[in-house]
Amino acid sequence: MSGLSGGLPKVAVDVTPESRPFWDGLGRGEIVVTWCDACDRQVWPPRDRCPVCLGAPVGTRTLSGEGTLYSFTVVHRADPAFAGAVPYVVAYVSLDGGPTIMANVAGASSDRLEVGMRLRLRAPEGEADGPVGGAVFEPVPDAAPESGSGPGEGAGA
Amino acid sequence: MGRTGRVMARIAGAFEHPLRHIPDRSLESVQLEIAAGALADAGLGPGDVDALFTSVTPGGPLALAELLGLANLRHVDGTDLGGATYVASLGAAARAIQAGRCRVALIIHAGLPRQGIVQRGAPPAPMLPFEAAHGSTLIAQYALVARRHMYEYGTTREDLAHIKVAASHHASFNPNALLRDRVTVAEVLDSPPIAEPLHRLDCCVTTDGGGALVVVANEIAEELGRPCPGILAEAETVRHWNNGDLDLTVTGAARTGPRAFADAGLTPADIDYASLYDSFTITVLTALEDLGFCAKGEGGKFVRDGALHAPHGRLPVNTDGGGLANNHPDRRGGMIRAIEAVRQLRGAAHPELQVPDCEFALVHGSGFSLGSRASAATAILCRGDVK
Repeated sequence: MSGLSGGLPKVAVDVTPESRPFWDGLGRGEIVVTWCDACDRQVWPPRDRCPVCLGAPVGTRTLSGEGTLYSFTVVHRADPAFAGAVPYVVAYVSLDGGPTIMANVAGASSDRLEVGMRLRLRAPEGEADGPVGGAVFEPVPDAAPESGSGPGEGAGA
Repeated sequence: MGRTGRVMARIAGAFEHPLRHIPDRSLESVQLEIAAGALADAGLGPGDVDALFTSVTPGGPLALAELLGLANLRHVDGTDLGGATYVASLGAAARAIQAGRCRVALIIHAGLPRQGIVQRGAPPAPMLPFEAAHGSTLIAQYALVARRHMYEYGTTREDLAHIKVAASHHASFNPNALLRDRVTVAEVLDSPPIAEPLHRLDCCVTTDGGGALVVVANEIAEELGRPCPGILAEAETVRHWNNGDLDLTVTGAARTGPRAFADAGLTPADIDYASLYDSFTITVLTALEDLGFCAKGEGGKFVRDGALHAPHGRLPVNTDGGGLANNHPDRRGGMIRAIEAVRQLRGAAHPELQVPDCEFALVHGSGFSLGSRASAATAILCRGDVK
């Protein structure tokens, strides 16, 4: 681990040839997901064939970096790598035009978070040469909850 | 009642290890004790066993067969579905018996997690890095399910607390239960947060021990000369991230429940007792909905007012105290859930908690994490006099 992003540790994780575009994208402040052109849909998590058609090759697509908070939890008991960061927020974020991914949310007190609120990817922080850390989102300022994300709506489906 | 299903096989023996903390013994010693206990309960011996069902164990089913002295095996299954494993094993054993591959199946599980022996693996690439990078924990993933359920359906922490209150009430009658003190809704709410909205008392216990079941062909059960609960149906599935199209409030039970009921020729209204895997309170709430005991989103209403309390609640659940209060060996609670259902169908549950005229029971197992990828298995069982 080295550095912090939104108060969260940047944990080194296994980066595979298939997942490298995503992690490299995060380091630039972008959300890059693997994409199947034949199905015109995401491949998540990244792998080198589309799980819908099992076709290859797959490419990538850069998303807007904005999305909707699908669910969140405030973690008080963490594994060792994150123990110094408690309490912190683990979330699922439904990306605009893409998958629902696991992420962190920073930049707002947890009692101000609401499912359905609009989020955007935070700009990269810290040293550029270490692990990039996770995808850290923050609330979009003064944005009302998205009208299409109310009760009963599944994410991304 | 219109039941069309037939008894696939019967459960002749069941044994739950009485201890919850076993600091000074080997896993092998505990496995032998459990096998001996279940076979003695069935009135059978190791020479009668011709099928072995287990999951993660050092050396796999091969080493376990050698340890237990099983010299006549014709069918072996080491499938691991996490907490759903041994509910699924009931179906697998019944189907193997129906196919004529075996006649006496030993389903066995033991673990010593409190000795630091961990028999489970982390999820593999490509998923793990996307969880590890964000400090995800197992409890955090279930908390994500709970929060989404609260958002979609107005479920409250109080609703979830009623599930723990029922478990602790039942455990107070179980001398072997790890946690025997009854707790109140307020005590659940006031317990320390682990991953909000889940607090400590929303979480299951971790215990050493395990259990075993002996599943036999119908003709063997007749030779044994006493009523043996029957296996009517079993269904299983896996749900996961589904390529980034996630729906956290619907679990695998929405698939396994309807299939199991259809195969058994029963409906949720026919079930007298349910053993529901309770890794966390939210695990029970979603199972109640998805198995059809109440409408989707109404689990919170359903669990209030003592609905889960034996013997007279609307649906008595987990009368041993469940994983929330009694026993959850090695995080594979499906075995212990199944054993309590066998007790109820035998009329051998605690007298204060025995469901009167308990004819049909449901056992549901849920494996790994409802918040990412989870297995599910549902078995429907009948009392020994049901043909």
